Amino acid sequence: MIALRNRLLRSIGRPDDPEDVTGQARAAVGNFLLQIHSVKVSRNSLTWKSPYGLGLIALYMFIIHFVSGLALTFYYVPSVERAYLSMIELQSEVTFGAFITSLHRWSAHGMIIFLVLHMLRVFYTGGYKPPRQLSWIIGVLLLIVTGKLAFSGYLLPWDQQALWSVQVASEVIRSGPIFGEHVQRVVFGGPDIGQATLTRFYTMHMTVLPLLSLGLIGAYIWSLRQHGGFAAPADEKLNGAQTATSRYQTGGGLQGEGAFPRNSDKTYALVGLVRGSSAAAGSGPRGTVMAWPAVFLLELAVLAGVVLVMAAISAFAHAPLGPHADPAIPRNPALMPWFLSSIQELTLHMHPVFGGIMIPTLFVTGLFAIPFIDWDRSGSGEWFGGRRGVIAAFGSALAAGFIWIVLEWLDLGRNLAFRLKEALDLTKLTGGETPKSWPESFGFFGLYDLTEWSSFLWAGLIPFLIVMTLLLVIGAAAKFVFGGNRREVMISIFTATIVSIMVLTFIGSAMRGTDMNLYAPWDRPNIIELDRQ
Amino acid sequence: MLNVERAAGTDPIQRNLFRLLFVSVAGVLAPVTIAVAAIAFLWTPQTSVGSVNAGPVEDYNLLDMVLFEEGEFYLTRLPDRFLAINQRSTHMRCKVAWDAPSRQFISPCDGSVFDDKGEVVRGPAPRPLGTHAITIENGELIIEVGDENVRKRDKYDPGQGAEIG
Repeated sequence: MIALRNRLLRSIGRPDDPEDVTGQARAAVGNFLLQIHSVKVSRNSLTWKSPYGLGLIALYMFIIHFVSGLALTFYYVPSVERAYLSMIELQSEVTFGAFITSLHRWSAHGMIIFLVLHMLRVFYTGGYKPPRQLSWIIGVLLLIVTGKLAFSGYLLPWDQQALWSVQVASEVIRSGPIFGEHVQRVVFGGPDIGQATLTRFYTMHMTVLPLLSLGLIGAYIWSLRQHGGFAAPADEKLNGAQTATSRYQTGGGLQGEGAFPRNSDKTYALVGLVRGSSAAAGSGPRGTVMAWPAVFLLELAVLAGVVLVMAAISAFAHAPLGPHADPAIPRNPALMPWFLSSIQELTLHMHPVFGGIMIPTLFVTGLFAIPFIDWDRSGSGEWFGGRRGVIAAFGSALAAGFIWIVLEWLDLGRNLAFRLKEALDLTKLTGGETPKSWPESFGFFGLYDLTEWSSFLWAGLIPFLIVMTLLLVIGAAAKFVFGGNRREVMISIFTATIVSIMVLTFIGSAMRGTDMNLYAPWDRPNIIELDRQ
Repeated sequence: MLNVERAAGTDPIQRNLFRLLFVSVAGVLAPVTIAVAAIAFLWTPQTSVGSVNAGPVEDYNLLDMVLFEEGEFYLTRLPDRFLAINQRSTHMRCKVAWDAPSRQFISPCDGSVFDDKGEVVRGPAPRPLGTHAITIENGELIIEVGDENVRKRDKYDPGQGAEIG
């Protein structure tokens, strides 16, 4: 029997039980899946100090999302007549139907949350620095695709919440300059959310976006592996003064000063893993552990943990299903999915072109630009690049949070700029006439409203500039008042942006109630119950 | 320019040039073709309505507010005239809903509030709801609809409606 078992195992490609270092190395290198790690992994990247597990959890969320989604396709019917009925069937009749539906929904949210946390970790530890620019770019693409994946799935239950959140997004897209209406027609299948939209979203959610995600995840892991695993700090920074070996940087074969320094004054080099008591055997780069078995087992344990936690959440908290979608009954308020509500919150204070298109576009462009703004290799793997970076992050977080709360408070009546305009009473200036329109040739924002000079100024440019000034002032303060370097200035602007998004997301998703009025989060009328009435 | 006979196989430099030319032209053309075809394919055909017959004048009582879903407008009868108010908010373009008890339009996506003549009660909407031209033919109301027929306005003005003759 044992002989048969060994033969079976060997036929799958696993070598003999790896007991020594060479065998363990071979186990990691020789297996298709296990190649995702180098033979040795930095010990530092396994501690809580650099929680690299965040990206891993996001990946596991994706796997749960993928598998549970696959299960749902056996029941779900993508038609406006049947979609909601199939959801009801799933929730009430199918064994574990509500469980799988919830698992699918919560894992989508978990995927976004952990991907963002992972991005924050990578940013603040300088993981985007050379040679990892490509990983950062792929990561941002992955974040966008994940957002689209979650958003396209949002419509499928075809309840009121689904319909109206997508309707808002559709209108934001339509407001876009020049191509807005055409993009809306291509993405949403027309001005109204109907069967065309459902078919499109279903196809995107089922085929295009999962394929893209899988490709990007593969590319992301590949690029990570190419660049020597996770960014890790140099030994001496963590462990204090050490011997000559402290010059070895952990965790990076290809990193600037790699595991084995190139400009070493040594006349010998370690060229391979050897058995026995050779001078270099067993020492190699400091602070590493063999990938097999420790790291792989740890990752399996995390997978099991994530599955168990998600299963527990889904068993107790079921994904809500509102009443059937009805384009004739507007939902009050019509809120976008929470991960987009910062955008909707912005559009409440300014024209959708600025709040819904330009600012998000600038944000994504900024994310892509990060590795090209700060390309200094030093400080890679170090949290915030040192104590000054921590101060930059905390200071700008406090400043941005405070400013946004003040701005929201000032603008309770919505559209502060327009109230200013009324206070100034521009009509008096133009002798009782309403302000002149832009000439017809100014058609950039030509779809509606912004062709008017006053709208363009008061609902567009001024609030837009307020937001941009907020970020620039924080960045400028970091540079000129506190004399920060490039990375510290970027940390302060990035932190201010992220905190702004967090504040707006919270206000937009937890505090906006009936008629888009602001409520205390615990006081807000339950929108799903209002739907039912 | 290119000697076709030589390019056909003898001169390696010409052949490479030819190959480069082919690869670059095809390499640009192929993705562009696919992209254009894909976008054109996804471009939904749109049907526009033109005009809507709202029936005879007598069917409407004073201060009625009737929704025409197909034409995306509300028709209301004021003391001496009819007014056709476009349904799309002037901020986010979401369709507004008529709240009968308060006699106001509420935009669900941006929270703008408009009165029964479509004028702004509360922002962020910068301007009143648009209107549609109404003609009364043989006692029947004909309303011009479609996005291009929505008329912008800065405030209510009796001329925006159609007088009951």
